[in-house]
Amino acid sequence: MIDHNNIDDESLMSRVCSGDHQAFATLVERHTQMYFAAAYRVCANPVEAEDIVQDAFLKLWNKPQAFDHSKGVKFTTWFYRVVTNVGIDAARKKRPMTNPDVIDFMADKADLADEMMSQKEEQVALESAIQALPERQKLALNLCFYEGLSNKEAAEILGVGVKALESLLMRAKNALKDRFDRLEGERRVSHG
Amino acid sequence: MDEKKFNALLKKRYTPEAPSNLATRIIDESRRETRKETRFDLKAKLGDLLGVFIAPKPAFALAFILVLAIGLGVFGGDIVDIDDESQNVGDVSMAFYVDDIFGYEDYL
Repeated sequence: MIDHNNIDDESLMSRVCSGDHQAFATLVERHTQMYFAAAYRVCANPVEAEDIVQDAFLKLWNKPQAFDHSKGVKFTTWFYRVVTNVGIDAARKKRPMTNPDVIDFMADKADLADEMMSQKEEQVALESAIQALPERQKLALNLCFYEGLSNKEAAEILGVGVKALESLLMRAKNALKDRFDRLEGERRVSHG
Repeated sequence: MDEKKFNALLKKRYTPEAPSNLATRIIDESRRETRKETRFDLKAKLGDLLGVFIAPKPAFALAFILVLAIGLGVFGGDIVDIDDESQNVGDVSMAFYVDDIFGYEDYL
């Protein structure tokens, strides 16, 4: 009996190509949390993130040949691209975005203690600012800053050169900084 | 806002945990998809079979056939003549060749 847990992702993928369902199950168990987080960062909605991860894994199961290890691509990098693309497709199909976290926050606002509220306020503001970024800037930030991928890997996923990726990243950070500087300024004015 | 403060702020981004049963759900769903695929579906098979005979782009197919027909109409005769001619040349060459080796009368 083979212990799939000791096999690397790429070898598991070769087994998935030959119909080994246990190998597929091992990949799902190994990476669900990581890709759920990645999907959540794309859509900012936990229910949608679940659907995105599920769709991406089912695509993998139905068409594992799409992963070509002979090109030297790591499974995790390739699958980030799959999850990201499924996430983008889902976002394009869905209605104009309403951030449920923001709505929850508004509803709970009255009951929260000051400190907790300012923390949550900060997180909501951050999430809203990131979600408001242009799609490619948001993805560049997600992949490099939150998923911890190298610039080269992120550039491969986005299908751009490293220079273009760095430019996207810089523009994303500058846009966020501007927004937070403005918010900070407004807060100072409102507090007198 | 300085870089350090900005990075600290970015790190505060909240990401929820995946539901504990998500992996199991995905695995179960993939099993169901396998079953769906392996079941024999007569309607789907017939559809596939019919699909072989359906021209995917009828306008393109019609235009292609028209061009091919015109092409054959214009050049078809020449092609046949050239073939006949080369066949005749081949026959004569063969006759001379055989004549050289055996003598014409022997060949007959």
